[in-house]
Amino acid sequence: MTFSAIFGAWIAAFLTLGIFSYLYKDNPFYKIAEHVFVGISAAYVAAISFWTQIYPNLFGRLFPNDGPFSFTGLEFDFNHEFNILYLFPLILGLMMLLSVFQQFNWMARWGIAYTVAIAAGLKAFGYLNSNVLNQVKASSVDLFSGSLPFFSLGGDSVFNNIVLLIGTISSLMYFYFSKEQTGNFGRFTRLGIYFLMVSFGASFGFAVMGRISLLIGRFNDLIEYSSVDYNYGTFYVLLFIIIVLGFWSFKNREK
Amino acid sequence: MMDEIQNLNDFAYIYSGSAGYPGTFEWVKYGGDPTGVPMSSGTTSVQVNEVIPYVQTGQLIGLLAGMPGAAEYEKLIASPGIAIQGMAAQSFAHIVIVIFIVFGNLAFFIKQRRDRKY
Repeated sequence: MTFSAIFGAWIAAFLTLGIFSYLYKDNPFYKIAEHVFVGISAAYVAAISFWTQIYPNLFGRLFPNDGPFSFTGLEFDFNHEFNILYLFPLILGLMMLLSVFQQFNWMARWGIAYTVAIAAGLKAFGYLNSNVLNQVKASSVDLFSGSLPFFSLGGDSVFNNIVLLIGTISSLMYFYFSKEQTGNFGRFTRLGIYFLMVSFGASFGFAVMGRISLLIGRFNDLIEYSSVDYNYGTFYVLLFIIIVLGFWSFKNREK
Repeated sequence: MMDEIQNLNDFAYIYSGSAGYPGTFEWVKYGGDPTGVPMSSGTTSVQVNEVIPYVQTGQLIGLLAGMPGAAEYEKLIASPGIAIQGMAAQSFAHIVIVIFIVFGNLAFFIKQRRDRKY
């Protein structure tokens, strides 16, 4: 096992146990882990964005080998050809960065307006096509064609499609506020609430399952790092955290 | 390997391993659906509830749903790994959570009844 692998394991064990130490109470180890997490996440996203997007896609197209700007000495070889249109994103990006200066911060609005408009257009198309039209198309089935079984636990069936139809309409009706939800209409929208609750319950269940999976992953790593291969990293880090936390609590008794 | 590849239409199949955004949602919306290339995905459990409708409509031809999905896949290819190992812990954790929810509700109703009595 290399020194860097062991060192990385000790750091990972320290940060994991630092976060778990919040179960005791807010403390310096938790703060360190939290700040390191936020800082590294931001830096990682910035570095990835620059080296995988801006560097090859923008600089690679504005300053290719033997491009018109070669005389400046700036050449980035990514097998792209020169494309003058890429000057616009460069200018808009620089305008967004100028928002740090009070007198130029109006310039950032241009870049933000362009980004928001493009994102809205792309998202509208994607959502409309994938989340509305395709879902409506899949919900529109012929119940009485005879091709479907009446009941099936795992697959498509007449019963399941009726449940889907009633659930969809009653849930949508719950959000229809132009008519007072009383009488038969109220009972129907109440049915919609039950369908929504089942949906939220399923979401919650899957969310819990996901978090438990992450917890299992962290424990798997901690168990692995407690082996002789990693010089018993988990044990020593845990001992260190407990001793320091005990001392820290002793010194801050009044709090 | 990528010699004659120009765009997504040149692929026979798309697989997205997704743990957040951008991920399977974006690949369905801007990859699989516009091109019609068959697509499947493996996601974290948190995303399953939102991705499952794509399976029912055929926009995804299959889904590895969280750790249980990974365990099923390991069993399918007869290669037991960490997903199958983790399922015991996960099932036990779920039972504990269900017991806590039941106890919490029981405590709530008992307290409510006591408050009404006195």
